[in-house]
Amino acid sequence: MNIYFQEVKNYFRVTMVWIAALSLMSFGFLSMFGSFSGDVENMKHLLAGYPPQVLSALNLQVGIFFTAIGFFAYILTFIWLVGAMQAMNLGMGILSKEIAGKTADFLLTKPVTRFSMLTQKLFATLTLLVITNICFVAVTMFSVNMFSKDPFDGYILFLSTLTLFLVQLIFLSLGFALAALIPKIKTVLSYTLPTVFGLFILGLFGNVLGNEEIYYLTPFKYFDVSYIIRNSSYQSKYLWLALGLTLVGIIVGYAAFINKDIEAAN
Amino acid sequence: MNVYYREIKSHWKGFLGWSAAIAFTIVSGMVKFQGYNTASGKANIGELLKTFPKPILAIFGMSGLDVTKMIGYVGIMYLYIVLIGAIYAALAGAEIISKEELDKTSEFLYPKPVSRSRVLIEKILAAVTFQLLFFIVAVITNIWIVDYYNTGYSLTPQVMTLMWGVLLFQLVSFSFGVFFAGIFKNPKLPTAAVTTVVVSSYLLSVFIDINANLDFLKPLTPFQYFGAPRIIAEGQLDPFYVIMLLTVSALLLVSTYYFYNKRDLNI
Repeated sequence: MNIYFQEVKNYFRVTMVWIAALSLMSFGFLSMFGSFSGDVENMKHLLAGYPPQVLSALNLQVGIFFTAIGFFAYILTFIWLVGAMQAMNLGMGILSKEIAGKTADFLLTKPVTRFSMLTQKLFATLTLLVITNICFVAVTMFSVNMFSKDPFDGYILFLSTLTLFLVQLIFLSLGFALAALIPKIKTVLSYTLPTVFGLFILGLFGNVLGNEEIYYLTPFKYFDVSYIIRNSSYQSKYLWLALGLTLVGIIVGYAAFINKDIEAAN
Repeated sequence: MNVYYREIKSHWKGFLGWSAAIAFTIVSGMVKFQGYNTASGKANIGELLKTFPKPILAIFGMSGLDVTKMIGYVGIMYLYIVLIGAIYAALAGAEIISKEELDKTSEFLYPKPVSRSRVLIEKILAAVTFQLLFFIVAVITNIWIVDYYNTGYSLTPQVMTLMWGVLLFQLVSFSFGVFFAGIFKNPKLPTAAVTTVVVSSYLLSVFIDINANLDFLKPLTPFQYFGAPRIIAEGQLDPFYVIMLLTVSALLLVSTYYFYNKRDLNI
């Protein structure tokens, strides 16, 4: 368990910064809800005049749109963006740093199997992500409570906020697998940034174009708050896809890292 | 010029990857636009979107742009090109300086009979070369694809104006990257710091689009004053902000030169 504790300790401060960033985004955005809901009546009127096909094409439900949860859905995509960076940096960094920092020989010659080392590192990252999400969910719940005058469905809000964790899991395992596959990584960010932003931009494309096939390609499209609001659940095919991808990433990571030829420091 | 050639050689592949990515983004975006444009009965959608609340449009990246017109769509694509260009430039700037310390090759490089400022200048020149090449790839692809699909009068001048905006974003992000790599002792920090700068100015801009009460923050983020709607509406980049960004970049690069020469390298 030494590696586990060491890694949790190593990454604790960085995680705090990420938690602060995510919480600030959520709180800051929701604090604008008051001014936004001011001209709700006007907009409701306007939107009611549109043909239903148009509204559904743009993924808008008039009833939902003006609630605090509907409002929160706006910022969620961007929270995923930031959360995905955190998770992928973490997954990739935790494996690649031993090789980049030339401490691989030190660590791997200790009496721990690679399997055990990987498992401890994996659990360390999961712990950090769980902590992040507990804080994020708490801050968001608190903020909605504070800024929404109308009552809201706590369960649905909870499901919506929990999507952050699911998206993060995908990116964590993606980073984990890539770190094991790529021979030598100098700067984690030069892999994670293009990947995360690439998929994010693909998701934005999907928004503009309303193209269903693109949705499978990018985790930024797996979860949709308006679906959650209508059904009080995730869309099951995407939920399974998310969990499946996570599992595949982790398995690939293990398989590749256990067989990896690790360059000794010289 | 050894350092220059050496850096050109070692960053060649990364450049090809980024160029391929930008060309692919531009082309596939425009191809999709055609499908979108004909399929959905364009006249109605355009009118409809105009009446939509600001936040929705902001989320779709459509604020102030008419998607059914070619130039509106080019404006939407502009944001993606800017994001990709800014991230590439930021990472390239930070990495090219801090890589010696990351790879622990500073002890190899700096005892050579070249001055530190010489190394710095050659490195910056190498990275700038790639930034310009990347920019040229983006410009050619964008002008070509717009021209290919465009049916009305030529949009090339407007596209070019937008592309100068992209170049400015590249320049500023690059300077921030180099600057952070020049001043920070820990070689891992620069990439993180410059990323934070780029990402948070983008997010701030989205916040401002959503909420009009935040308008007073506009001067803080180039994504606002060099946003596509504004450039298209005014037909030029706001000269005041162009000068401001050029000054900021120049200050960052000059102070890098100053500080990097004095810094204790991390060995």
